[in-house]
Amino acid sequence: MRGFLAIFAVELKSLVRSKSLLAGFVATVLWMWFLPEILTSDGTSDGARELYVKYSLGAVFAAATVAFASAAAGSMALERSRRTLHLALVRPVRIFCIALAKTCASGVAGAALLLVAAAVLLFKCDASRPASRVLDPELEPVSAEARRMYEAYMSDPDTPDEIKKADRSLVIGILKRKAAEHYATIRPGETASWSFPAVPAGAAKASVGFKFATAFSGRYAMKGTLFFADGEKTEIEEFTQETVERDLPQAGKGRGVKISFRNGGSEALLLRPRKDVKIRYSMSGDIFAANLAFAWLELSSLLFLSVSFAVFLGASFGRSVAVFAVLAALFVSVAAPAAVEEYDGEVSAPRMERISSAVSRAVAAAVMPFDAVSPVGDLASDRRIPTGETVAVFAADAALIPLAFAFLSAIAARKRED
Amino acid sequence: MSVLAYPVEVSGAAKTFRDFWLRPSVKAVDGVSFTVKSGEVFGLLGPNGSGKSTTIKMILGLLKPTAGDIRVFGAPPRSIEARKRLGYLPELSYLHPFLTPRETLEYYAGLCGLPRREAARRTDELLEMTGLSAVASRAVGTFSKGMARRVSLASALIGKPDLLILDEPTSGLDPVSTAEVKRLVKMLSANGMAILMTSHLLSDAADVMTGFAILDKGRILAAGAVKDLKGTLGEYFLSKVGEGAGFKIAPFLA
Repeated sequence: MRGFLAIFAVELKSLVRSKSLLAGFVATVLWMWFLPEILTSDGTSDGARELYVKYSLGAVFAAATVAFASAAAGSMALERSRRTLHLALVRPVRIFCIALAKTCASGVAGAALLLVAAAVLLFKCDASRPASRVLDPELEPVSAEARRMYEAYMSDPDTPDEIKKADRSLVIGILKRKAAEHYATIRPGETASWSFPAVPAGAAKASVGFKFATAFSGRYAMKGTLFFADGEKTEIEEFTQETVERDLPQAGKGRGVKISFRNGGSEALLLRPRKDVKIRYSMSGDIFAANLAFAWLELSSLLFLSVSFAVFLGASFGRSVAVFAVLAALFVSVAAPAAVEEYDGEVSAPRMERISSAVSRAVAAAVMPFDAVSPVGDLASDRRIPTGETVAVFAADAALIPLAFAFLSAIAARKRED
Repeated sequence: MSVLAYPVEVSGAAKTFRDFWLRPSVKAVDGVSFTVKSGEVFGLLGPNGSGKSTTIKMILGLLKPTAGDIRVFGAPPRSIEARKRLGYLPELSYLHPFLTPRETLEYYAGLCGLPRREAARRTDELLEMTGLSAVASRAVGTFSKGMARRVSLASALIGKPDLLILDEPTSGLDPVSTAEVKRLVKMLSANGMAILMTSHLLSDAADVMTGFAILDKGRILAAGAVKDLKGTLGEYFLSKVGEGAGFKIAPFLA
């Protein structure tokens, strides 16, 4: 433990005395403080606030990840080239301990930088603003819907031969993404219904939100009636593309909720059940300040994860290769899921495109558990970050995976010395 | 680990470096055997590229021998037990430039697992002994080569080692400091510490060494005790290694 603390302290001193940490703190405070002055929004104060939260904290997190991951990768490699690593390796301390201490030092410094950003955010925003928990409608799983769509495609004589001959898992994969974005159509006079899990009886405030569209995505003055299970109803008149929010009747709390909508207009309305219908509610203590604390913990954990991977690269390669590999890995881990989301026509694509698409998919699948966590987006949209998610992210990204990478770093460093 | 084990036992140690394709490229050490006893100052001598540094790195556990066996106090060099009893002064002073001498010593004391109070006491003692007390709060990055060497020497001694490995210990030191280091080496060995050292300054080495081995091309050419030599260590060394090895001066001057 003494060895771990000694290396941890030296790493922190290195960051502090190089003035890079101080420069990071100053830049963070300036960015967080003056961003609202240069940010333009759609004019509403809520919109401006959402943009501010998203881009201020999001940018600091991105910059901190790149900076501290590069520093951590360089640190291990630099110590090897300076031979100070040799002097540590001949002492009674395990390389695992050296790698872990370096990870923790860079991770703690990064977390401190994020804490500074969070403190400014707390000062600039309303700390007591409510944050909502979200319930999605109970629908069949995406994979089941995709399989159903697949069977329908295959039995349809108009389906092109190349799709019928394509690999089943490939087509199912495409259909899964389509199912997640699947639009339901509600024609004039038709009624659509959605069942939700129970809203806790102690919920302070609950509402249901919709976002409708039309086939041509224009701003159409839609109207209709919203029915709640207990016979209560409310009329809606709003433009499509706007979020329609209505309070949930008190009677709906504590048990499952069924909500129906009857299209009272003259045009068919479209809506993605998995994305455009939600129940929002708040429990006591669900405020921005608490949500910010959860977001900070998740972001710090993700930073720890990046840093531990960087230390592993630093233990495996020379300084320049390690730093380049870290930057490339961070870029690919961000780009791959976006590329997969944008590009799904690989059934008919040339062979090279299919190969690169498969590589992107493999990377996206590997980073999916981390990519799925979006504390900044949740914080900006006042969505209460689930406690369970934060605990899981912390345990995996700030504890288990860094320990595994420290172990791998020790093996890599020894192999490299030999 | 036996308390009666030799501080260093090297038997048939060999090291072959491999290239990128894992093909054997350089045989740096080829079947070297020797032992270092407690209280002995053992010198590993040889021309450049003879395998001294590779042998030392294997004893330190930084390199794994391709063949043969190395024991430090009866344990493998990479074991924590062996490293607890080992101090190392490298040929060049590898220091964190942003740390002060005090912080450097406290850092290595931490790596050796010394309790805080003992680490502070030992740090003060070593700063005093190496004459660094007055500059204990200055970053070592601003130090001259000789002062940095003193910090390195103090770092090697911070963990109270039973075996001290010195790679060119007087390199970069002025004559007064060199004399002090030689005196220190003699005192430490008189107190029972085993010392393994390399040096190109054979007259300095002969003043402190009790036993020696001469390496060339990865093999031991000769070994023995300094007291048994008829002439000087320098003369004996040249008789074994050969004068002007590697240099072709006469044709150049002609």
